[in-house]
Amino acid sequence: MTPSEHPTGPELQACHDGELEDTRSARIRAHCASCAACRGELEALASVAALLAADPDRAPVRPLWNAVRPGSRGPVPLGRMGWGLGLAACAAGIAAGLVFGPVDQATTAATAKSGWTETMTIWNGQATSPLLAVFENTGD
Amino acid sequence: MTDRSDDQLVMAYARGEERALRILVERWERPVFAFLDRMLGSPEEAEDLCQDTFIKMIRAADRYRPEGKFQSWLFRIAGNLARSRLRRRKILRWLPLNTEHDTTPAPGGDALDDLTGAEDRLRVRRAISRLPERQRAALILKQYQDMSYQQIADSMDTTVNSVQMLLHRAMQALRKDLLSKRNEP
Repeated sequence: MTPSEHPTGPELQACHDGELEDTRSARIRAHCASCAACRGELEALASVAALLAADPDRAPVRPLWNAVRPGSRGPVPLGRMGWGLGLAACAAGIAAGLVFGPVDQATTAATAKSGWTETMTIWNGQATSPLLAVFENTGD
Repeated sequence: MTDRSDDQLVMAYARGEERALRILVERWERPVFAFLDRMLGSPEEAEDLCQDTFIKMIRAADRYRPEGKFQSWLFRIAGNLARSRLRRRKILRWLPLNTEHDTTPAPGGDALDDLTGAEDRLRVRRAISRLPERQRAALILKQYQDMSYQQIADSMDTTVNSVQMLLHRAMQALRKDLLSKRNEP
């Protein structure tokens, strides 16, 4: 490697990380000794690495073993099932809509009113039996 | 038993020794948690995925081939889980990176030193969280797990050359982010 033949950025990175073969690494370091630009690149890499190293690992709050040991796992928490349950509910709703068709609001209102009348009849003791009241009011 | 290699412990567990599994979990829970914590920027999510990583590892233990690549295998599981979580986050958008949550006590020194140290750590974490996902994974595995390029390539399902490029780009981005701001008045 001549003084004018500079190593590439990834090569300098690999040299800094100790990932090059000894001969290649030695050539790059020899080049850096006489090339201020490449030496500066290597020094910058070392500075960034030092900054990164100053950030220590955080530790988990509790040991994992009890949560992961075979046979110790209970039902999956709802949070993780949320997506599956939500999608299943949506699919069921769409399927029900397709099977039963749109709801006739007039019929629904009439049925509700009829049901209320029927409830009051039973409550007032006017019907002989709740079952009979249902048949009387729905006309079935 | 604690001096046995990872491969020996996985094989022992496959033969039915639960204690071997416990040693493996206790040996690797902190590194896996630290990796996920930096990938996700959230200790709560990291703990959740750390648990999932080991559950997956246990389920796949009987398919593990003892070729001395346990660390790469384990971090591949963790990396895949982190990638899925980050993808889901991109869809949801309402889960921010929790880089504010720094509970690590600063080592020694007076209060001002502690504050400066905490600020530096926060700056580093923010800078890492801004890296593209694959650069971030490669950088964390190299810088904090001290894995070789080959080990990183194995755990990321890529080539050594690709790892070299990812690390080069990550370090250039961090240099721009951290050193330029440090030199500002």
